[in-house]
Amino acid sequence: MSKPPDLVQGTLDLLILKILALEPLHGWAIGVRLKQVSGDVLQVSDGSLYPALHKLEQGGWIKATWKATENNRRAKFYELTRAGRKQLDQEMANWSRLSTAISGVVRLKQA
Amino acid sequence: MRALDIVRLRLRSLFRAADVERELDEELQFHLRQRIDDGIAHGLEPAAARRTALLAMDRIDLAKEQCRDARRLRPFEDLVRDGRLALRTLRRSPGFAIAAILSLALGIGATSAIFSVVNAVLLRPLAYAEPDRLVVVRHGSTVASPSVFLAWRERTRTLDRIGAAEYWAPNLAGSERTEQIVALHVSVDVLPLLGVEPQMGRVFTPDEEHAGADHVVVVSHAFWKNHMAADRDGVGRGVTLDGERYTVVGVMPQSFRFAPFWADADVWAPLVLDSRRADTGASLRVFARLQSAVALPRAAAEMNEVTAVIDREQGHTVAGAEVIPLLDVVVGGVRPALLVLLAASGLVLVIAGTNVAHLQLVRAASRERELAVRSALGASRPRVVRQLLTESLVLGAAGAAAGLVFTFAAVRILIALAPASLPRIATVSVDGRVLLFALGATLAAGLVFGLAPAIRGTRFDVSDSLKSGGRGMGERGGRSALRAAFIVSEFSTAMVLLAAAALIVRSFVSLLAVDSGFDPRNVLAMDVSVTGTRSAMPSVRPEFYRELITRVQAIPGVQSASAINHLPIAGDIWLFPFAIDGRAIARAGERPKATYRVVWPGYFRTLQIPMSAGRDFTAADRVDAPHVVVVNELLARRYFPSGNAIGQRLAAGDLDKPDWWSIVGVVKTVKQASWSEPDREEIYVPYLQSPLYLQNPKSFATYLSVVARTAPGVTPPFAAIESAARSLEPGAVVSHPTTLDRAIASEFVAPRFYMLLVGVFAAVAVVLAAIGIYGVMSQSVESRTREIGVRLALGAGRSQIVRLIMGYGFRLALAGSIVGAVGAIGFGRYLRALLFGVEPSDPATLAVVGVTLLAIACAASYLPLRRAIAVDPMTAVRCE
Repeated sequence: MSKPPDLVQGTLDLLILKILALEPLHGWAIGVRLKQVSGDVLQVSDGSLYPALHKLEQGGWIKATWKATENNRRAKFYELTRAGRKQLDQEMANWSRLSTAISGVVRLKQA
Repeated sequence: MRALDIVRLRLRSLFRAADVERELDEELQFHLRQRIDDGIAHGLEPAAARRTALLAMDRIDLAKEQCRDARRLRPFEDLVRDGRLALRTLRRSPGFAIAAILSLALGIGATSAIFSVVNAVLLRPLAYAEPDRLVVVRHGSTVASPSVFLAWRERTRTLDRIGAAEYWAPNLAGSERTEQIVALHVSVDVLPLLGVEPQMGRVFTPDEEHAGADHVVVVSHAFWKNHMAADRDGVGRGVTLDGERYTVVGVMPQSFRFAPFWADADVWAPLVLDSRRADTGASLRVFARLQSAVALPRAAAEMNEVTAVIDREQGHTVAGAEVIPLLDVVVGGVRPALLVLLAASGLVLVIAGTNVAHLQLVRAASRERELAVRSALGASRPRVVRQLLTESLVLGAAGAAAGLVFTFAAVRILIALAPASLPRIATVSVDGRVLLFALGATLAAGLVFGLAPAIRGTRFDVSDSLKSGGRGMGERGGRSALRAAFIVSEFSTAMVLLAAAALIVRSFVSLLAVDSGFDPRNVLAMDVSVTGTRSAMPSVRPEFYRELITRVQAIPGVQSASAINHLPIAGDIWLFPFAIDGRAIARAGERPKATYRVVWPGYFRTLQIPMSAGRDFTAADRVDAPHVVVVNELLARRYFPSGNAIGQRLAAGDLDKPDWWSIVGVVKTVKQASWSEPDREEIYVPYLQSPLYLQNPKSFATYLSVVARTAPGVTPPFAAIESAARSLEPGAVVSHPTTLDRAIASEFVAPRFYMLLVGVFAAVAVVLAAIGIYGVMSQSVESRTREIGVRLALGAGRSQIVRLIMGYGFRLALAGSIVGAVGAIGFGRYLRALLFGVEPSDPATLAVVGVTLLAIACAASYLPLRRAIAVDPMTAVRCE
C-alpha cells in the first residue's frame, strides 16, 4: 500500500479550516471530505487529524458541539469561530503567496 | 472573545480533566465505528472490518497523548501527580512527616503570632483621616507651655491645623455616686484636625475657647451609652463635672479613641487659654496636621526656627521644637522591643526550616535508590528535583495549616499576657495581612529549605546507586558538608536566641533585686478627691484630709496612715526646677529639676522609708511656721557632699522670686515613676505649707492619695476608707484602690512578657537544634558502622571510637557556638531595649550559654554513641 504524500507542514490546519468553512463536520467526515475534494491525493492519518483538531480548538479557531449524526450516533461536530474565519483568510493569503512562489521556482526552465 | 474561549477551555482541561478525557475517548470511539461501517460498506465481513479499522488506528494511544499535549497542560497535571505522590511518600514515613510538620508549625506559628502583634501595634495606620500627616509637636523634647503653644498657632506656615490637649480627671456626678473619669481639655482645632466626624451633634466652635462659653463637652460613644443611656436626643443634655454644669454638644463614633495614649478619655471640653497667655508651665501636648504639600522635614525645620525665635522672645534658653509623626509617638516606645521579638521568632523559623531541610536530606540519603530508579526509568533531573520540591511544598502547606492553628491560639495567649503599656494590643487579630505573611513565610521556608536538599540530594551517579543498593556507601563529601553547615547554622541560631534569653533573664533578676527604697508589703493606697464639693474650699480642705487620716488610722488593722500627692511607681511625677540658697541660680531651661512631692506627716513611717538624717514633718509644720522640706539622699549627696544638708535652704518652682525652705530631713532615695529608671533628686514638702496645694482650687490640688500600712494578713480595708471619706464629705470620690505590691507587680508585666516570649523561642530553638544534631549523629554512626567494626576488629579501643564519633558532633556544635556568639553580640545591640543592668555582650553570659549548648549537643549525641560502642565487629563487617 503506497503511502499518501505527507502534507506540507502547517497546511493541514489550512485544509481543515477551509473544509469547516463550508459546513460544520465531525472528525471522520473531515477526513472523508478531504479525500474526496482532493481526488484521493490528500489523505490525513487519524494520528494527525485529531491532535490538529484539538490544537485548533484550544487555539479558539474552531469550536466543538456534540450532535447526532444522520445515522443517530453522537459525534463531536467542529465549526469555525469568527477568529477562525479571519485566520482562514490569512492562511489562504499566505498559501497563495507561498504556492505562487513555489510554482515560479518549479517552472524554471532547466538549462 | 477568542481569549475568553481559550481561558474557558484551559480551565476545563484543568478542573474537568475526567470529562475532557471521556470526550476524547468518545470522539475516537465514534471515529472507529465510522471506520468499521466504512469497511462493511466496502464489502468486508464485520469482524474483518473491525480488524482493519483497529489496525488503521493502532497508534490511537499516541494520537490521544498528542491530543492531550495539544491541550498543553502537562505542568499542571504533573503538579497534581507530584502532589499525590508526595502525600503517599509522606504517609509512608509518618515519623519524618510529623517531625517536619511540627517544626514548621512552631516556626510559622511563632513568627505569624508575633507578626500579628507587630501588625496591629506598629503597622496598622491610626484610625484618623490621612493619619500619616498627623504629627506631635514638642517644645525641645517635652510638652509645651500655653505661651509657646499660642505663639506656634499664630506663626506656623507648614502646619494646617495645630491643637493642644491637657489632661483632666474630673469628678462626674451620677445619680447614685460621684466618680472620677478621664477627660481632656482640647483646643478648638484638635477634634477637626483628626478628621473624624461626630456621630451626633458637632465639635467645638472657636467662641467656645473663651471663658463663659466653654461649658460644653463632646463625649465618647462609651460615655453616651453608659452615662446617657444611649439617648438619641442626648445632644443638649447636661452633665455635672467637678460640680459645674456642662452641655453635651456632640457624641463621637464608637471607633474613636483620642489621644492614642489616653485612649480611655471619655469626655473632651474646650481648653481655655485666655487667662494663661503668659503661662510658661509646660503641660500641653500639641498635635498638628501637616499641610498637604509639606513634607515632615520641612515642617520640622520651620517649627524649629519659629520656636528658637519664640524662646528668645520669652527669655528661655533656645530649646527649639521637635515634630514627630503621631504614630511614632504612639508606638515608638514599644517598637524596638517588638522588632526584637519579631526577629527572635524569625530565628525560630530559620531553625525550623533548617531542621526540615536537614530531615529531608537525611531522607534523601535513604531514598537514593528510589530516586535512582526514577532517573533510570527516564525522569529527568529537573523532574526529580520538582518531585522533591513538591514534597517540600506539601510539607510546608501542612506545616502552615498547623502553624495557623497555633497562631490563633498564640494570639489569644499573647493578648492575655501582654502588658497594658502595649498600645492597641486589644486590636491584635489574625487578618489578611497576617495570613499573607504566614503564606510568605511558608513559601520561603518550603522553597529555600526544600531546594538545597533537593538539588544536593539528586546529584548522584545512577549506576553507582543502583549497584550498591543504597547501602553502606558512607557519606559523600558534598552532602555531609551541607549537613555539617546545617548543624553549624542551627547551633549558631540557637546560640543567638539562648544568649538573648539568658540576658533577659539576668535583666529580670536584676530588676527583682532593685531596692525600691520603701517596704511595699501591706501598704494600700487610694485616691480621695473632693473636687467640686464644699470640702474643696482651701479653708476647709486641710481639715478634711487631717480628719480622714485620723479616721483611717483608727480602722482596725491599720498601723499607720498618711497621704501624698502622687504615689511612687503608680502615680504621676512633677519635675520642678530648684536652686540652693547661696549658690548661683542657673538660667531658665538649664536649671536642675527634682521630683516635687507633697506629703502629710507620717508618710515616711507608713512606707517605711528610712530617715538617714534629721526629722519627719509634724503637725506643727503649718503655713505660719518656718517652711521646711525633706530631700532624698541623692539630692543631699550631690549638692551637699560633706553631709551638711540639714539646715541648708533651697527653693523649688518659681526661681525668679525664690522662696527659701529649710532642709530638716534626709530620706532614703526611692523609685519614683518606674522600676527601672535611674534615681532622681526628690523634694518633699509638707501639705500644710504648700501654697500650690493649700490655696489652689484646681482639681489636681483637691485630691490626695491616702496610704495606709496594715498588719500582715489584714485584707486591705478599702471600703472602710471609702465610707470614712463619704461620712466626712458625701461628694468625695474614691478611686484607684491598689496595694503597693500590686502597683510594683504591674511594673514587671512587660519584662516578664518579653522574658517569657524570648525564653520560649530559645527553648524551641534549643530543642530543634538538639533534634538536628541527634539526627546527624545517628546518620553518621549508621553510615560508619562498618568502619567502626573494622576499627574495632583491628584493635581500636572503645574510647577511641567515642572520640571519633563525639569529636565530629562536638566540632560542629563548637563551630556553631562560636559563630553564634558573634551573632549574639550583634543581636545584643538591638536587645538593649529589653535589658536592665546587664550589657548585651556580657562575656560571662555568652560563655555559660556556649557551654550549655555544647553540653546539650553531647547529650543529644549520647544515644547514637551508645549504638556505635555496641557495634559487634563481626556483625558490622559481615553486614554488607
